[in-house]
Amino acid sequence: MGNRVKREKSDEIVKWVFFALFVLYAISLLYPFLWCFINSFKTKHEFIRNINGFPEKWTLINWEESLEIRANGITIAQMYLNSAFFTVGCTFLGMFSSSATAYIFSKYDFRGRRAVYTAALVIMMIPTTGSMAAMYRLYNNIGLINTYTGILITAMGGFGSGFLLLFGFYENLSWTYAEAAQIDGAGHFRIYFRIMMPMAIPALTAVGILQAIGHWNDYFTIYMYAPEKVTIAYGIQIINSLEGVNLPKVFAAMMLSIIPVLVVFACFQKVIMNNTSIGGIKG
Amino acid sequence: MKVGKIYRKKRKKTFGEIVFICVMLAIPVTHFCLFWVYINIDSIRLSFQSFDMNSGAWRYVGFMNYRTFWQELTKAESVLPKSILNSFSVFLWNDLVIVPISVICAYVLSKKLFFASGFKVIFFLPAIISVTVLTLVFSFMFDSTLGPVPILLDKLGLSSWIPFEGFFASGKTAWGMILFYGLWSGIGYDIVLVTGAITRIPEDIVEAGRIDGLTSIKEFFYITIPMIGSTIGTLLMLGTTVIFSYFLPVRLILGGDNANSVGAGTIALYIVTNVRDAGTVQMPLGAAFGIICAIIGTPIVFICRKLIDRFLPAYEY
Repeated sequence: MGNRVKREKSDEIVKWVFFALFVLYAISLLYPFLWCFINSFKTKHEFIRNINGFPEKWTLINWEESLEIRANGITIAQMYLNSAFFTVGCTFLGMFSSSATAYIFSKYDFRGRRAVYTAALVIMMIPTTGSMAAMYRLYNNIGLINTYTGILITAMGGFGSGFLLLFGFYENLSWTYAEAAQIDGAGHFRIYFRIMMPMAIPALTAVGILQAIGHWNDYFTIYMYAPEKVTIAYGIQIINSLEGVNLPKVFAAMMLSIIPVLVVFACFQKVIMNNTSIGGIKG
Repeated sequence: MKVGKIYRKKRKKTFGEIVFICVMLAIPVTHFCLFWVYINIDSIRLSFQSFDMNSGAWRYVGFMNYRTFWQELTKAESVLPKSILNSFSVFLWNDLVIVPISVICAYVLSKKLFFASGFKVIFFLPAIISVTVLTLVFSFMFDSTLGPVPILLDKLGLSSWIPFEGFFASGKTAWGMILFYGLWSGIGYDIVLVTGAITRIPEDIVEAGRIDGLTSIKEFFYITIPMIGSTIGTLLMLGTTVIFSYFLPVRLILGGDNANSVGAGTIALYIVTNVRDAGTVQMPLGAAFGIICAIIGTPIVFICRKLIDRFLPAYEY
């Protein structure tokens, strides 16, 4: 009994030590953003003499001016449009492709199915950093560098983490729904688009939100293949190098770039976090 | 995950079924053939080619790019040996530091800690914010002229800790800052992922252990770790794959040229710089290095996978 009480006490102490560490870590994550946010309401001159305090006079000038900054000739509003276009387009195409692949591989048997599935899993693990050069050459040769089409095509792959998540979902979806529809005369396309795909909407939404956040934040693809189609994630880096002397303006632009993601996260926080956990396990 | 059983009985396929399968797989399979099969074959081809600036054509040059790579690697003042070491240190840092700390933190967080849900939401934030913004706020925090961290260190009388050139321009601290950034931005996501796995462990298993007098430490080692083996395995595998792909934080925090001058380059940074920034002439060198990485990296990745599967098997529950 005494040992148990002792154990419980030491467990409590450990818990509170970790609680303190978690508080410190949480502050380290939130404080930088709060610091940037507060400083975005200062003028350039006030920021230099008052780096860590609250603004003497709150001003929206940086937020207004940041909307007029141009990176590679593109304003923040246009960057938003590019980001939105790529996010919606890439997510939709990627989801469509992953869903189709996952459905076929989980519900239909055909020669080579097992081999392709295994190959898809295995190749995800092979380091292909060197393929960047060939990919760049291909894009260059067929005129896809700096085009919207080039970026959309990149996202049309059917294999990847989205495929794995949706494969698991479709595999557990009963085929009896399809059989009932077949008896009523429905064809394969109708069964997929009218019955099975609508039933997969919760899974598609979850995977879609995660992919959309990934596309919105994607820096690498734009940096490599479409630096002229500046998105907000890519543009912020350029803005920092152009406007580095007026940091409050850079802070305002940064805050503008993360607002949409934070709104989406606030609305779908549970879906995002739960599915990330599951994705981690399945991956 | 294995290919599961097919619900439909095996029988001769109808024409409609064949058309359906072909239509549905047309885009994914074409994409795969073009962007994986062709691209990788072309990478090998490219590594044996060179771009002739006069004629504007590619010509076969045998192993010249591999020889150039070897010269680059072995020449005095080469940045490559350090870049290779750095890339492997990211893997060790992830697998030996970040993942173990995450697992311990997640275990404590799952024990009905006050404000646990709030912590999870905050810890998850770096996973949804772009790497550009994350690296920028991180560099602002440590900026030697305006960053709150140097100001705080100064007030605490620890100004000797701040390098004269700044944290990101000093060869002594630059790579350490990159590793620290990895810990700061990555550990929260890992904690949330592992906490999710721990909460799925059946309560009755833990309860049975508790009745038998299991201490928290024993519970952690004998129940929690084995039961979440597949999640830990996934995190460890992610660490393996970053050896050859880690470059964005380095490029964004330190800048490509500065990174190499302060000894903080990586394998992927070297390849990207050759492919994207140095122009067409340097692309084959990037491809050659990439091929070497694939040849060395593939067995490493598969051996790690085997080891992880052996020591952290996945349990169904």
